[in-house]
This record gives sequence, structure tokens and C-alpha cells, in this order.
Amino acid sequence: MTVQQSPSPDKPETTAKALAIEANFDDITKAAFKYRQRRVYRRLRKRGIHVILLSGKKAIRRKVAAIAQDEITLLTGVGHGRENAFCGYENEPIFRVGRYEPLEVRGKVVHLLSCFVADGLGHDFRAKGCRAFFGYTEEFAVPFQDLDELDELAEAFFGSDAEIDLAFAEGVPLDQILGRVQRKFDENVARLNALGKREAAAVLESNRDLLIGLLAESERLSFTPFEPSRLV
Amino acid sequence: MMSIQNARQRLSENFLESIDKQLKLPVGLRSDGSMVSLGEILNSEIDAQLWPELEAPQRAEITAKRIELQPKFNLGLIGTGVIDKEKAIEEVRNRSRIGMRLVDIENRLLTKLMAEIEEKADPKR
Repeated sequence: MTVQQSPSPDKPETTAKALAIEANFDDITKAAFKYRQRRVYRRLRKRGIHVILLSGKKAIRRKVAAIAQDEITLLTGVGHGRENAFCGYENEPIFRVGRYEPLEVRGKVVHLLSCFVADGLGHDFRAKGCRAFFGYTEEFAVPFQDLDELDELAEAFFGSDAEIDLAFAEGVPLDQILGRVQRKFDENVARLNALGKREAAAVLESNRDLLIGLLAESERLSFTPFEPSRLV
Repeated sequence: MMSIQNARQRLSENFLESIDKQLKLPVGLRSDGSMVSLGEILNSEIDAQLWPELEAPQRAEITAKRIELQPKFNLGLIGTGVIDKEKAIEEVRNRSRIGMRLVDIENRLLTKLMAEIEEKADPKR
């Protein structure tokens, strides 16, 4: 199922449902939620996507399992990860390799802003029939001196990642989403460098190179868009 | 390849201002093993090995020092939470996975910065 673009931005026609899981309980997941609530979910709704939001104490396995088996087309979320698991509120595992119903991911596009999930959980999701999985092979990092700076950097960091959801909502073909996301990361890296925020730019570039996309055979072969940088 | 040694006089004040924070941070090692800052390198000819020529353990030491010299440092990790300056330095010194990531980040920053300085200091530009 593809996302149909709305005929009019003022009168969107709901054609798809997204389930958004937001751990939203510590500084970094709260900052991500604050940004996504303001800049991402609103835009998805404008595109006619009905967003079901499970945030904070609602971001738990029981609630996700009950909703994920529904007609969800996009499953997006922010939470910490550990050993092949994506975690919600206070690090309660929501998805663990082999410990969820295939229906929770089958036919869906999944985007998790989390660490380590790409290798284990991402491949497991694809094996269970998800159309596409986007995630990171290591931690998504954001450098900051204080919470004000974390807020200032939200657009560059969480905005680059959120381009996955926005591209999906605009109906960009799945095999072209990573290219668009790369351009967004690159624009933000250049912007941070121009502002003299060289440390932040280097961290953002590093995040970019850890993002992978896994596409179902029916969509296209799996690939990574970027050459991983050489670790010293 | 042009050296960035003693390049200060060929750089504009605007550019120097934009990299002001970087000038105080180490980018190499003198022959006696002491660290040398970018500002020192740009101001004079110093017998020093700069970042691109350093081995991994030396890069880790420079990275730890660069983190230590920042007034405040936090790294939010969607994965493990937030690590502070002390923890980040410990990770770098232990050359853990997160520590190696921090070294890689400095590598990206310094590689780009040094290339930019070389380009801007090139008299043929």
C-alpha cells in the first residue's frame, strides 16, 4: 500500500495510519519527542496520515502490540535499544528479535530512531515481511553543552532523521528515501559548519553514515547508501 | 600538499574568528610527546606530528584532551542515554566502541578543518 498524496493540504484525505512510539522519558528522548511532536506528526497529519501516538508511559509493549496488528502503514519511533531490542518508556523492551507477532510488522514501513536495532531487529523485521526498515547500526549521537543547545540542535539532528517519515508521507518511493535523507543530512552538516558548530557537524555526519535501509525483495534489494567512514 | 604550519598570516580574520574555539585545542604532538594546539601550529614552524600522521593510540589521547578542554560536554546517545565529559574521556582512554566513535568524530572534524585551512592559506587561490 502506498501513501496517497492529499488532493488539498487544507482538506487531507486520510488514507494511511502511522503508529508513533515515543519513549519520551529522559533528556535525549524527550528532546526528540518535543521536536517530532512539533515538526513531524503535524506534517504527517497534514498529509492525511492518521497518527496514533504512544508516548511516555503509553510507550509500552502491551499497548504497541494491541495497535500494531491493526492497519498501520508506518511504524515510527524513538527509544533506546539494547541487544536486538527496541525499548520504550524506561527502557521496557517493545520489539525483541523473535518475540513479537509477525503481523505487527508485516506490510509496514518501519523507522526506528534507536541504536543497534538495524542489524538484528531490522533483518528480523524484514524476514517477517515488513516492506522497509530504516534504523541505525550504532548510537544516534547528539552533542550538547546544556538543554538549550540540545533544543537548538534538534532541527539539524532530529530533523535529518525525520526526513524518513516526511519522505514516506509525501509518497517518495521507498528505494529513493535514503537518497533524500542523505541530502537532508548533508544540508544540515553544511549549515552547522557554516555556523561554526564543527563538532556538531562531525557528529551529525557520523550519524548519517550509520543509517541503513533494508527493503523487502518486492521493493528492491537491501542497500546502504553511504560508505562507512574509516574508523581510526 | 601544503603545510598549515605558520599559515596564520595567510588566513583572513573572519575565518580565524570562525575557528576561534579550535585554535586552543590540540591537533598534534611535539617530538617530546607534548601536545600542540592548532593556534600554535598556525603561528609558527613547530617540529610536530599532526593528526593525519598520528597512530590510533595517539589520536585517542588527543581526542581525550580535546574533550577535556571543552567548557561543557555532554553526548546524548539514543541507545544508552547521556554521557558526560568524564565518562566520554574514560570511553576514549579505554578505546571502547563509544570511545572509538568519538575518535572517529574528531577525525572527521580535523580532516575537514585542516583541508579548509590549507585551501584558504594557499597563495595561488
